[in-house]
Amino acid sequence: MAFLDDRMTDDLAAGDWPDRLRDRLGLGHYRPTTVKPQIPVLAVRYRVEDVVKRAKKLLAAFPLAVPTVLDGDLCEWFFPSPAGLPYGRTLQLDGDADCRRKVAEVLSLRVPYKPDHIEAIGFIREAGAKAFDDPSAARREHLECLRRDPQGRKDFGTL
Amino acid sequence: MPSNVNPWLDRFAAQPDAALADLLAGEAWLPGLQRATACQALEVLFGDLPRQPAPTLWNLLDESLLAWLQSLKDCSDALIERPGGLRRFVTEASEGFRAVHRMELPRCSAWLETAFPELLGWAGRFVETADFDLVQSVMGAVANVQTDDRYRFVWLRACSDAANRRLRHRIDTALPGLASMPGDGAMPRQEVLLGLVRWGERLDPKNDHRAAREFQRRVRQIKAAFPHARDFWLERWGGVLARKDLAPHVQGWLGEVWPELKDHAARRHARVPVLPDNVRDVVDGLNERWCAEKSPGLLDEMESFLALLERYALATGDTFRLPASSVYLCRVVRDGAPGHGLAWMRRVLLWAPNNDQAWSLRADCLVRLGRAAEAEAVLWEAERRLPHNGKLRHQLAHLLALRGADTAAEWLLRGTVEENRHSRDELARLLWRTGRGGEAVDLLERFVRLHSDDPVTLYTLAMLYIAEGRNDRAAASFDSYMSHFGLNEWAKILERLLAAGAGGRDEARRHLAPPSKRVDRDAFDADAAARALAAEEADAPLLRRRAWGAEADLHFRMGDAPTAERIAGRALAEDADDTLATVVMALGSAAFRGRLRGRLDCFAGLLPVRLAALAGPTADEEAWGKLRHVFTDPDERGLIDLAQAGLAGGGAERDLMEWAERPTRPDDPWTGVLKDAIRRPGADFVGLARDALLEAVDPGTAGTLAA
Repeated sequence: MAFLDDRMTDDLAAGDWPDRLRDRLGLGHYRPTTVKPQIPVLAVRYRVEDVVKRAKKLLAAFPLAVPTVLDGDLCEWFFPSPAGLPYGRTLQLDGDADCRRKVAEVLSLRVPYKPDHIEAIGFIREAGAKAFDDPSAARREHLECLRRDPQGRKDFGTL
Repeated sequence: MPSNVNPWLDRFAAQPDAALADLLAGEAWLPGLQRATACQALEVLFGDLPRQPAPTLWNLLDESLLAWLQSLKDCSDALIERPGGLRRFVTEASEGFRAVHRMELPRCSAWLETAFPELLGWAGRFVETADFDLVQSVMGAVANVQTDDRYRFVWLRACSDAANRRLRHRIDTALPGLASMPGDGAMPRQEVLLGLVRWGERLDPKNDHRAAREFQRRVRQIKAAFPHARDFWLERWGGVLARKDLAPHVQGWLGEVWPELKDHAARRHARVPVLPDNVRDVVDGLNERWCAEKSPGLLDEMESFLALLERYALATGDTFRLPASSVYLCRVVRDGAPGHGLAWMRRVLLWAPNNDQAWSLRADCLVRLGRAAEAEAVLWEAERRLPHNGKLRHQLAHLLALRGADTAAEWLLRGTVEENRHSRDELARLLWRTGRGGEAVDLLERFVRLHSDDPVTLYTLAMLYIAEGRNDRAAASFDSYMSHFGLNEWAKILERLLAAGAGGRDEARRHLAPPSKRVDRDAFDADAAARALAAEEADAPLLRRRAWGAEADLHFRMGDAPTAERIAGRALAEDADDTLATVVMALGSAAFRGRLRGRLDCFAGLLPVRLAALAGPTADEEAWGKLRHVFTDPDERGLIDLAQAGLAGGGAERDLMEWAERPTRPDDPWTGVLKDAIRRPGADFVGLARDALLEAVDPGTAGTLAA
């Protein structure tokens, strides 16, 4: 998965960036425990241009795509986005009642990583997050943000 | 959702085996963990649960995962038939193996460490690409759970095997496997450098444009992973770089990324055991002393000397001195101390698995220890690994004749009789014993006409004439023998028998019976013999199945399919997917081949099996093309071309000849023999293809664990 959002710069620059990114990107399956208190992660930064070049080489039609439920298993931490949005929205594990912490998520074609792609290496250490205690509340909050998004739909998710 | 209320755990507590199987199959409901891999999910689910006091869910996990892993062998066919096929099977099995060390499960870890050699042989079937390689997963798990250095040679072999282009990725597991072997002293262990060099020497600098870069990347990784002062590295590398037989391209590649190793500074700093100026003088001296008086102290001295040579081999990667001296000393002591000899030969085969003398002496020592059946199994395995080796073939034929397998013995001997005079002698005796005295005489007379000065043939011919009562011809042979060799001890025997009339004829007949090996051991060999035989016992099941497979192949070549199928059936009864027996049966039985073609997914990584399945005229070019697409290493392509030329009616002779022109490594004698045979006019591609396929079956770990 990848994200295109310059608003993530502060999180990346912070000392606890692994925990912050875990929460902002909705990676709820990364949960340190007593036995495994640290989960190593690697942040990789690459250009959209590189993805497009790779797609041309592989004759792939879609170098970038909006993530859908078909791209992975059904999961508490994934929420589809309304059709009008040109990207996905990650579920904020640490809450986003004001809808100010939205992150644009896309799927990109896999680019062969090189050493100069490495942005940072760190460890997720934070075991808890607001969403872990009440996933349903986190999902309701996220749905509300999608409904309020200017490119969203007010009735999104209504049966 | 906090892990301690995950509903899966409740189900696991009630039905551990089923719950775990579902989790590993990706079919369990794991709220909050759907995107996690099976291993990650287990880490989260169990991570906050207490491990003590037992019994806890951890203990239950340990038992359940152990049962699941042990069941994989029997269930693999069924699991591969599910949607997702081989890739899904490899992914799930890999997660299971990964969980063993990630979760630090003691029972699973202990089993994995013990079962490693057998698992390697089994996992070799399930290899599709670098991302779906079950061998890699097994190796990775064992690297993390091993408790000693018993698998040193398995890792070193894995480094060599990683030179194969298709298996290149395995170097990144084999080197850590070596590095993580527990032991004293500063890291990395010297074996890491040896493994790196073995791999580098087998890379092709001329035709593989990535080889240099990939080698140098691992060199940099080692430097970064083990930061040490300059002198530390000079001491470690010095002995290796001083070897005269070190491949120049390895020296060059090392020097480019490690400038301190370029000049001779490393050699001056080398920390290497000091050897005598003339090793040959030392072993000659030990020989003389043994001939003068055998003693346990002298055996200890020999053992110490060989241990010194082994330390030297470890420091430098030299694989000549230890085998050469060990073979020499084994010949010296085998009469009185075959137990010591056997142990030394087992050790040689760890360092030099293709040393034909070591195989031969290992079998000889086993016979002297009264283990003829084990000796025969060793020789079948040796014959399979080193086809066309006249000496080994002769030795095997002798043992077969001793147990009454005269037909097989005769077939083997006829294959070597042209170049090996002892085979002529043995064959003649066998023919005479089986009531074909006239044929035996004709055989030897023909060779005597060509080689009138061959003492063995002349002697045996004279003995035959005496046994047949043809004294006039016997006297002529005796005169011929005398004219070349004088009245030596053998001539005196002939003279006595000729003079003894009917009694001499009877005695000659006894001479022609197969001689049994005199078992004459000294008491101080008992402990060494017991240890060596115990180690042989551990190898016995695999060697026995290999022997059955090789013997079955012989009977197929002789045209005796019922016997062949019966013998191969014994191997398949012990292991339904025994690789060698499967290859042999596929080559020999069209019906078996047809059934095998329907389940080739279960042998995706085994080229010999897949080639054997294509034998016969019905396979199409597309099938051969698919194999060439998957098996990209040049030597594998050579094997495919040979198999197509020999077993499927031809079609790849030009590529085959190109491959046969390429140079061969000196430590790979069989490939050199094979290529020479292919280039010879009128080469028998059918026979060569069969030999090559059998030889290519993974040798496994028979004799590759600690001696």
